[in-house]
Amino acid sequence: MVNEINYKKFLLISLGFSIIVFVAGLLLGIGLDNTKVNDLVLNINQNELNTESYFVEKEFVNTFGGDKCSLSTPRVTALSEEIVRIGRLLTRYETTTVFEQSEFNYLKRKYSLLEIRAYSLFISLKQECNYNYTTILFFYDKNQDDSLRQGSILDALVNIKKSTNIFSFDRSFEEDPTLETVKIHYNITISPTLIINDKIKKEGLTDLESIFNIINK
Amino acid sequence: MKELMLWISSFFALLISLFWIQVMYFKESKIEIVNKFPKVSIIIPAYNEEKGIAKTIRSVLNLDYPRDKLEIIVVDDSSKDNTGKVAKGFKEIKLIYNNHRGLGKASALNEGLKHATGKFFAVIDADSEVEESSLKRIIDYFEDERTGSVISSIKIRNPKNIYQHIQRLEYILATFIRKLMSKIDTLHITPGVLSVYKTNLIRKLGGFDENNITEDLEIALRLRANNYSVKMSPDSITYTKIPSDFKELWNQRIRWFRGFISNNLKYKKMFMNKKYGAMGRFQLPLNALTFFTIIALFVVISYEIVTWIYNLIFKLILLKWNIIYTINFPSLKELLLSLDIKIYFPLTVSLLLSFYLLNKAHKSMNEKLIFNPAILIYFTVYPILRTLHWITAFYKEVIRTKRKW
Repeated sequence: MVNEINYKKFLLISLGFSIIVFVAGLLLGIGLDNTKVNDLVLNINQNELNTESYFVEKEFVNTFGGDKCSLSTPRVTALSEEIVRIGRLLTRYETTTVFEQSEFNYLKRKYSLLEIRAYSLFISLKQECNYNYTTILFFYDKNQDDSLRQGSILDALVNIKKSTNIFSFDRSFEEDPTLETVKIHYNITISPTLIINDKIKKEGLTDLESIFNIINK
Repeated sequence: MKELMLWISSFFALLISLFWIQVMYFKESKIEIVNKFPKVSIIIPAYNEEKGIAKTIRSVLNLDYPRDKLEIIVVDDSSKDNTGKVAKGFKEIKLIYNNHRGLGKASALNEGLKHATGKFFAVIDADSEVEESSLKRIIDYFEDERTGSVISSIKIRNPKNIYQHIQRLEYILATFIRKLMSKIDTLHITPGVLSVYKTNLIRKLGGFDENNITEDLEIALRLRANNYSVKMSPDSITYTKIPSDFKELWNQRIRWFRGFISNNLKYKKMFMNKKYGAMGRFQLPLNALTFFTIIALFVVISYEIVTWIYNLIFKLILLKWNIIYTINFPSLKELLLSLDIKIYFPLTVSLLLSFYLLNKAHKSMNEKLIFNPAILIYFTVYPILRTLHWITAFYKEVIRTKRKW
């Protein structure tokens, strides 16, 4: 029979091993955080490069001539799709981060700037080339049920109507002055809020049908 | 909350699995075969067991134990069928009648105990069978003065449906854990399939508690509370009949778990009490902790599932049931990177250790680990059912509904 000293010894050894396994889990989590950050940085850099490439191309056409509008359309659409994908990655990775919150905040800031730049591009293209694209600014709160539901509705909208471009911003994220300027410009006070085609503002949860009615007007 | 709960429970599961693995590898000194054959009275309490009692009696008569040292007492517990008649057909047995039906099995056992003349007495349920050498092996364990009772290894013969396949797995694990508990001297159950007791000791302790729905657990805890140990003889193999449908299984488990709760409360003085060694300072707190962890995990996971369903329905209504448009499949890389590794890593290690223990349990019982749907259900759906058993049992104990056998 195992005597009392042995059972206590067994318990202590088990405790030690359990702690080791948990610490290993945390270390793996930290390692994975680095991979996540690298993956995001790679995607953001790629998007920045593509944006820069677009600007250079635009400058070239401006200088040497060409059809600016037919050139811009596929480029800007691709940029927008990339941004949506990066946004999804950022949200997915951020929820499981162990210690890299500051790194994620930095990336989030960079991502917000990419979005604002792409949004501005879209609006100017719509004016210059008379395009019929739909742009929606979506302001959300990370841990709010209605924001999550609105996100799903917008996901569905993009899948149904491919020419819709969504730019989503964490309303509680206050680390970037440009984003603050955007929030002030559109007077964003609650989540979720949608700015559809730069003109119509919808506060609170908006269903799919209502959005369709607005963009089809 | 969900993450925290998963983290705590996987830590707990890991700690306990590692503990039992160490106990498993601990080499015990072998039990000496003494070849003494003291007189043993075998009590078979029976209520409406006309179909199975003959098999039970035959298996007892077949025991590899001197015939003149065996006394077989069948207690007909006011059966409404031909149990008495079938038992009477065996001239080697002593048949007595218990007219106090309603007081449960304990009353029949006490009646049998009154007539027992052996130094030891064994309890064998009328729906069970024993292997030839099972009693001989058990008696050797009584060489230790502190041993109050010795139990056997219970097996299930030819499980037929999914309920029985799941219970087979459960019995294999339970018997294995009992073997390990016996090693650290924290065993506290004497199942009715084949448990042997010191006759005078049980008489001195007042016999079986007739107000108890799990008299096998109560008597074991009473032995422990009086500083006697309960041992297990792994080589003593016995077979039992198990519930074959949902209702029968549900009722049996509610009775067991209510008995577990009420008896643990009855003997709460042992809880964290240094006087009772590993039993008081390890096993009973572990029982309590397991109970509360299961309940807490169930509550948290249920809340998560209900919230998820609510959100899904809400979303479907908002999208006019076009859910297909909201699905975005991540790539494998994205999926792997999104995993919360700090939770899933220890959880995976705990699960692997559980499988390892399950495999070892099968080996120790000379049983084959079969990968059938039962094993999948045992690890996925069955824990939910078990938790529901616990919650129902707990609720019934709190509102004090009548305890039924």
